[in-house]
Amino acid sequence: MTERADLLPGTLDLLILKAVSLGALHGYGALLRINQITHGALVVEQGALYPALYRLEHQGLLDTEWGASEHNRRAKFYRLTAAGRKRLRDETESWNRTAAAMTAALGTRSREV
Amino acid sequence: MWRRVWSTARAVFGRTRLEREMAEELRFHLAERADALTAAGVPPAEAARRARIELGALERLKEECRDSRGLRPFEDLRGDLAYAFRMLRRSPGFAAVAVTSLALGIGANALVFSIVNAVVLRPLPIDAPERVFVVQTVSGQPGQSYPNYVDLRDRNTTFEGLAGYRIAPMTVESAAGTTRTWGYLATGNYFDVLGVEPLLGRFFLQDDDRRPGESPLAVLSYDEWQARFGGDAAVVGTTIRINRLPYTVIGVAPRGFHGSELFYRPAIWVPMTMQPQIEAGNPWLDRRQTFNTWIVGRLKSAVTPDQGAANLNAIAAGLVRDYPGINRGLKFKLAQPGLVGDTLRGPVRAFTLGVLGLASLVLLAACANLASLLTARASDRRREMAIRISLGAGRARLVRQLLTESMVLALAGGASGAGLAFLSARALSAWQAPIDLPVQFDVTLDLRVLLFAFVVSAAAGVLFGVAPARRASRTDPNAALKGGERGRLPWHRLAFRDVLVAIQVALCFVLVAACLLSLRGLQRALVMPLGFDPRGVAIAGFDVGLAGYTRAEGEVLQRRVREEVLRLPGVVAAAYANSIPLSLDQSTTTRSSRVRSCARTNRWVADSATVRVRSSRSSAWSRMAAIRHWSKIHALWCSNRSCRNTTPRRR
Repeated sequence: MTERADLLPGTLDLLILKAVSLGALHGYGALLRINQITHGALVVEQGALYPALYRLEHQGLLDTEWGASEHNRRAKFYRLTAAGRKRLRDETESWNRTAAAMTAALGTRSREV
Repeated sequence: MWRRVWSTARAVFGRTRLEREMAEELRFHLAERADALTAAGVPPAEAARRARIELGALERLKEECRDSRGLRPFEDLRGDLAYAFRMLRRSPGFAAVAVTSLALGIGANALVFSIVNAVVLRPLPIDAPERVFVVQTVSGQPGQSYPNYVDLRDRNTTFEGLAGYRIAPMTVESAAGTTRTWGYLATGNYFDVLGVEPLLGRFFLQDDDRRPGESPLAVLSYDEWQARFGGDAAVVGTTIRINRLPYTVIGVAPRGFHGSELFYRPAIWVPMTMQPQIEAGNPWLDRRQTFNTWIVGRLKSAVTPDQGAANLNAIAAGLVRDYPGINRGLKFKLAQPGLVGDTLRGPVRAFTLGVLGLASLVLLAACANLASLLTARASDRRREMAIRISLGAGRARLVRQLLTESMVLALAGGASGAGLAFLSARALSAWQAPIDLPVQFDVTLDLRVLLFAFVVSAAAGVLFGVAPARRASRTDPNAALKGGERGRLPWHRLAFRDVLVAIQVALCFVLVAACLLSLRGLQRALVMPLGFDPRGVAIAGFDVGLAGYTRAEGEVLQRRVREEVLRLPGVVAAAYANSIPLSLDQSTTTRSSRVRSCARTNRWVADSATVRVRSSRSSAWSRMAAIRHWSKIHALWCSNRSCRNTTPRRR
């Protein structure tokens, strides 16, 4: 099992957008999906999830719809809007740039300077 | 951006739904989590417990979700409002005093403002009123001779139309009886210039202007149509008699249209060319020296008022050249219509704004009063404030809470004030001045007045709320909780309240002084020596000249009426005259040259000596003065056949 890491600030929203982009999810499902795609490496506080979902919906990045869960309970499903898809693309690019820069910076050895 | 506003608005207005969905969503989460734990081998009860612990405190979570929807300010406001209402319910006496004093202050302001609105701000109810102007001389004379008017109308290039009109009384006979009625003489383009559409039938046409005396037509005002003809649409096309001659009713003016003068309520319009018949014995349509025509015009759309006036003055120069004696110094200006051009506008505006100033002083006094009441309350609530501050309430948050309370008071006061103003405005609109001329103002509370009342209430709420709220929020929790009632610097608070009291006393002094002054003035006017004693005198007017009596017949009638009245029990004396003291009397004054001074000395009856009433030999417009028993006099007239065309009027 991989070692668990804390979530960097701002990454929760990005993770939720990514999780939901793979298919409509209810809140609990989003939690499981994030767990799945990060291979359990990132811990998402259950209490932090819902305010984040409400915030993303408020910003028009997510749409909601009531439907039946796999256990046939009534659940609120979130799906990505067009604005959400665009935001996910932009954030992913910006994350990749940052990550590449960080990797390069941290991989520097003294004789390369 | 709009999406967030929409999302917040949906959350605010669909609050119950949002709450329900939020609860259901979290319940679902707990159920799913518990299921997962049970599947992993945890006993069900333990699984449910652990799911709840993992999710955290539910209420705080919901609070955070609401914040994410931008609901925080609204939630605070809800809380503040609920709290404010609870506080006010707990001290109903204070609330009642506060709301009542505000209602009086705001009501007075709203009422006066609705008058200002009616006479100064609100445009006439006509099409594109900003292009309609009254043509008056630079010296402020509203009247022009009719021939001058015709020249202006035909020679100008800047007006879509210039219309002439004149206030005139006439005797109208219809199935409903005979009355002396005030109306307008108006040129054929009058309604076109004002841009009014008839409610029924048609208005005058340019053609109706052509030949004097050949257009016996009449347009009724809405009120007259309702009152006299019961709102019957079949009235159009029927014939009524005006000054004994038949006229055809061709149309009814729309409701709320009273011509171009704000104070005057005409009942009827008759073509200007009928002037010789309406004002029998005094034809002036072809007289350049009779300045009886008022002129109103509508500028063409691209023309400025200055260009219009310049155009008219170029024509005036020609008129001066052609008729130097009569038209000497003739020079025009354009004025806003409504108050005899703007001859009355200056005084009316000064008076109403003066009263508005007084009313705002009343409101200021009420505010000062409330501010000191609130300050007193704040010192009673020091413990409450101290506890809230120690629990972590921010200063700004406390100020907002207290301001919400004063806003609730202010808006409640404003609403009751607007109600008061509405009632008094209705009474004022229904009031008719006790004079012959139908003087009436249309004072109603429109949107602008309501907006004014709202803004004034909000301003008042801030005015009397801010200082006490700021002071309360500066409470030192330590001192207040430890030291009981007296915190630090008691003299400071007292000084503030002393200032408020001083302001209040000063304002009240000004108001009381102003009130007493005007009361004294009114009182003086009431006891001003008239030179006669008006007690117990009843007056009736009748117009036999317009009813077709010859002068000799009229004299006989007048003598007979006087004798009959004298025979009534309780009547001490009776007299007739062409004019009574202290009254407006247009008809008489235009004929005054005919009146000879008293042939027989009649004394003003109730009086011991002084006034001698002139007795009119002409039959034009005579008045009876008698004592008491008005109803009997009335009955006598109504039963007297020879008088059936006259209408007794009570003054």
